[in-house]
Amino acid sequence: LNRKQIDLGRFAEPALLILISLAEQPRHGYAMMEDIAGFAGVRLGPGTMYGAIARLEKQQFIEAVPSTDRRQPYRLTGAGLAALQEQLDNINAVAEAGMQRVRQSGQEPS
Amino acid sequence: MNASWMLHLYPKSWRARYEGEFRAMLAENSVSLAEMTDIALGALDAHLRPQVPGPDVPETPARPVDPAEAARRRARFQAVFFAHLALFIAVNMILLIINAIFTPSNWWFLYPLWGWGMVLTLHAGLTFPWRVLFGAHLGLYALLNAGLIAINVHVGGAAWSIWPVITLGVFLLTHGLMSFGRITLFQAHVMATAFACLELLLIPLLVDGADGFLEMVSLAGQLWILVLAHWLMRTCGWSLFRAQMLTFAGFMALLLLSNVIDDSGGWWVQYPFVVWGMFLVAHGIVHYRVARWSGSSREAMMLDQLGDRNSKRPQRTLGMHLYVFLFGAAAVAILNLMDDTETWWAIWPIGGWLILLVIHTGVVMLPNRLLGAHLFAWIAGSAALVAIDAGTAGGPWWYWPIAAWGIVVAAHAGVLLFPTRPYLGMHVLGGIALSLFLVMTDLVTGPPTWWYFPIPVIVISMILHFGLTLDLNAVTGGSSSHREPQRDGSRGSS
Repeated sequence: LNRKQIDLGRFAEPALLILISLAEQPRHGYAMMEDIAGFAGVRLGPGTMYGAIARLEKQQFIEAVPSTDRRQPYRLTGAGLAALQEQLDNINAVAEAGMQRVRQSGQEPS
Repeated sequence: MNASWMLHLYPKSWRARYEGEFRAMLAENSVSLAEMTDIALGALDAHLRPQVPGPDVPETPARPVDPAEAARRRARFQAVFFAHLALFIAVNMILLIINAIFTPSNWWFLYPLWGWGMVLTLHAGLTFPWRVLFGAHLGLYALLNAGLIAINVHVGGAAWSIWPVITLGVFLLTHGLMSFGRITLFQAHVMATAFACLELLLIPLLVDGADGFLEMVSLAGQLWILVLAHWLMRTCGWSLFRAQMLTFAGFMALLLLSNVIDDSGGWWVQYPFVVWGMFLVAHGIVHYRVARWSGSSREAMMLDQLGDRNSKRPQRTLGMHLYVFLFGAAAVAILNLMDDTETWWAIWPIGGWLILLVIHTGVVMLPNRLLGAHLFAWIAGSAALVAIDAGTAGGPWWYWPIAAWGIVVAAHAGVLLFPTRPYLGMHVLGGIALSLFLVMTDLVTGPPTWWYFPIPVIVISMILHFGLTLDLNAVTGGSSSHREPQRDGSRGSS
């Protein structure tokens, strides 16, 4: 996946949180909102949530699960899982570099 | 807070895909003010960077057109136009001669020439269309402004004729760009509004005695509210009714503001509020009745109704007209009551509209809509004349126009009811009506009874006409329609 494919603009962070939420199991919008609030401490607004969902669906990172309920559940696709993996690897790499520099500074956190 | 209404801020295509589940999510808990702001921003983003492709709109199948019938229709329109042109030339020549002989110092004939010339130009533009209506618009613009400039030069004083040149020129320009496919209707609307606002802001600076800056700002604001309503209808799929509610609220707020800063005194804002408010209520009733009938809340269906004459829809349209009339009449009556003047001026607009409603009823109720319109117009017009006479002094003058018009209606009925022999039909029915008129007039006016003398002439002429038609049939060996053009204004099945 190149950068362009996973470019989600200002919805990049909400999109990442949605991908993480769906990596566990398919969820509908409100369930995702609650789940994200639980594991990330961030409550996404309805407009932001559906802005990100529309982008992820257009890029085929998530897809709607057939349902008779009005609350439409979504699940992660293979491409979505790969995109999530790459994003988390990037974050890990950045976090690792940051931690290494903190350790090299020799200072103790106050 | 319930934020479901905010979904109408999203584009149509987005709503078609996500509305149901979005509503379900909003129903899970109440929405805070911050979340409402978030929804508004989400709607803005959906417009600026649409993620959902627009719905495929099925193309309306074109009605099959018979080329021969289309050519006949075109020829008929052109014949009507050239008849109009001939009448225009003849009448204006007569006016010119009268003017030259009796009042050579005052060339008043130019005014009817100019006014009628504009109507003729419009007729020419419709008969020989160029870029649909743009040709007619261009001709009308040129003639109107030429006349206004000529009057301005003749009268002298300030160069006021520049304003219609500029203002109407903006509309012409945007219409032209639209006609040549350079811009859409919405873009034309925005462009015209922008130019108009610029002009509105310039007028107080350039023209002495013009309305103040705040009035112009208020007017400009109203124009932009119309643009906003257009945009919401276009992109968010707002119905005409919803857009009108927004427009009503916006206009009333701005007018109220104007009224407050206006130092002339009096709450004039109440008049547009009452009149428009009543129309809004009537529109609401029509809107929700349409929704109940079809499960759709789009007024486009009403337009379909007007086009489809083979179903019960014309009756429904008439019902809607009746609703709107009742509310409109009530609005005008309330205005009349609020007015300080002690005259019942509301009778005139209500009466005029009632006549239109009666004509509409004739169109819908009778099998031949043209005859229905004419017959019901005659009935309503006659009733109006009698009513006017009842309220004024003098004799029963209404008898004469009603009788004359009645003869014309009968002749018209003859043309329409006998499509294979229109002239004979006109002659027979018109002759019967004329004879009845003569008898009636004799009964009304009393002796001398000379009124009876023309009747034998009328009857003989009818018999001769009938015989001539039969003779022509025998000569041609076919229908008399070879000699007399077919005119069928009926709906076919009737």
